[in-house]
Amino acid sequence: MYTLRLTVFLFCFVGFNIFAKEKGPNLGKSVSLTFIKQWDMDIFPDGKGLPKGDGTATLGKDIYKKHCLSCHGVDGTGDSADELAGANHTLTDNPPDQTIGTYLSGFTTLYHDFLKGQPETYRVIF
Amino acid sequence: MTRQSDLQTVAGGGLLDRRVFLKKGLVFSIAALTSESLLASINDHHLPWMQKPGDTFSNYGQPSPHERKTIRWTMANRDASGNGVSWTPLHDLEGTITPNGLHFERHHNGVPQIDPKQHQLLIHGSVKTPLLFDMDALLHYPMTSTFCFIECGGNSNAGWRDKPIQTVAGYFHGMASCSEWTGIPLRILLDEVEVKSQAKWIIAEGADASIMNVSIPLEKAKDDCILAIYQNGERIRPENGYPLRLIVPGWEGVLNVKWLRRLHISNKPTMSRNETSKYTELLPSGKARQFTFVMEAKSIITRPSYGYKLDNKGLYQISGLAWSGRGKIIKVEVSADGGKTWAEAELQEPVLAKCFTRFRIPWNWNGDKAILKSRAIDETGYVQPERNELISKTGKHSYFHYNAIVSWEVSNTGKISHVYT
Ligand code: HEC
Repeated sequence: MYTLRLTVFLFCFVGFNIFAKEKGPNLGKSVSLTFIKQWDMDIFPDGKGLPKGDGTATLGKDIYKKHCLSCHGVDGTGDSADELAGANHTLTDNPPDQTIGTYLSGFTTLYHDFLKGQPETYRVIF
Repeated sequence: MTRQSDLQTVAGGGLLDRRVFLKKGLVFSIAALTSESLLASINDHHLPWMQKPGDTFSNYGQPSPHERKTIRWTMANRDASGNGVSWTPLHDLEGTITPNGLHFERHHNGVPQIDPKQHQLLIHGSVKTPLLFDMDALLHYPMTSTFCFIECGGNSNAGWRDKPIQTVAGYFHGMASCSEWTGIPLRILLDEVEVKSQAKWIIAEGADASIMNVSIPLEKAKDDCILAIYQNGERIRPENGYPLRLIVPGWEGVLNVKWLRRLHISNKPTMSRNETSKYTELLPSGKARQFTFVMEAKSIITRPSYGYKLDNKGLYQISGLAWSGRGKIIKVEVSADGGKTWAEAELQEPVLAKCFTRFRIPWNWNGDKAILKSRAIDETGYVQPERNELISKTGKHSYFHYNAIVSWEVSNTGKISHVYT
């Protein structure tokens, strides 16, 4: 009887301890929606998170030459950094040719990269 | 003295019963990394360090100057020096815990030098109460430790090449390291922000100059993830995520986001670069596998391995590492005859889930050509595949998740090379 009671007591004690360990002291500060907006840089495949704006391929070409070519090569064919465009063959060839056009899933992934890296400081992004 | 009766082989090529280790009096030969001579003769009995007082105390201990060769090999992009990797010298280390200064690195845009007073963690998205935590607050939370490996999804990728790479084990498989990580179970903070029921993913973001982000299933986050503040007892080093790193035990290294600043609870993944363009595996069909999080069982013999030289025939201690992202290693088998026969290696205790496990087996080398292999089996019954088995399943262009059996060929002169069999 005594051992049983002791076991029950110990069990409760241990049980309580585990519970106590799992609970935090609630020291987080609440934040405003504006604050979150400033921090949140995620962009989703459905376009959620993209800022307003527009551009053209011609405009992009100039930006590319100025800010990207040095590492990604002429027309994105790759240099010290990844090949980005101009696949010569497909994904089932040996070796496969993985570029934005053949492999990368979507435009928002790229936008995300471009937005976050500031080309003028030549930050490498992603 | 080594008695002949101790040297009963249990498999081809001279593998001995693993329990022979426990017997007294076995004399092991030493496999040396070529270029060094471990057994310099000691004639001088008046060694200088016994003649005068030694150095005084130091605020932070450093390895012996005689061990300066034990370093991370680094490889950085020539136009972006903060982009690249460094490898853990697995061939030079013993035991299971990686020294902090030798933990492998993969950075996308350099190591940020973060002032902890200015570092905060925001948890927001599909939650009832978004919350912001500074480091001071986090240090008041209940902590726990997990001993686990971190392995880059791209580790061992030289194994996909048509010709076996000839390089030391660490430079081939050393994008894997193992530490005791101490911090706050993530579920405690998730409880405080009160995650909404429709949430499925958690997008983690780092505070480096690449603002690296990646999506992780919420279920895993609630299971065993930790917001680590300490690594092997000391505050995490800058190159490993100071002051805060997300630890995702057993899963691809890229998910263990360093310099953690934001957790976005979401219904969908964000489809960032590191879950689309990279860390996906192209299959022969032209389709790719995505969200292949778990690092499957792997093992390698670290000693002897490429770069070691066996100077004479005789008894050697084979030593290696095994690990599995699915749980505990239950068995490691070693072959000395290229995979014809196998013997069970001794596993060093404690054997922990999702953690490096050290294995050892004695081997009596008769001086003939031999091929050494190891294969890991984990608690789910998964058996580490031979290279051709792996390639028959995934093709040769997966790049990530290479975990095939590694073969070291010992020539009759004791030289070791990497071979495919
Ligand atoms: C200083 C060299 C450098 C410059 C300049 C540069 N990049 Fe990069 N870029 C890199 C490196 C290095 C990587 C690989 C990053 C990594 O591994 O984390 C990369 C990766 C990328 C990727 C991802 C490729 C993939 O397959 O995953 C894209 C897209 C990209 N860069 C676009 C650009 C664009 C657009 C510019 C110009 C605005 C640019 N880069 C300028 C070095 C550079």
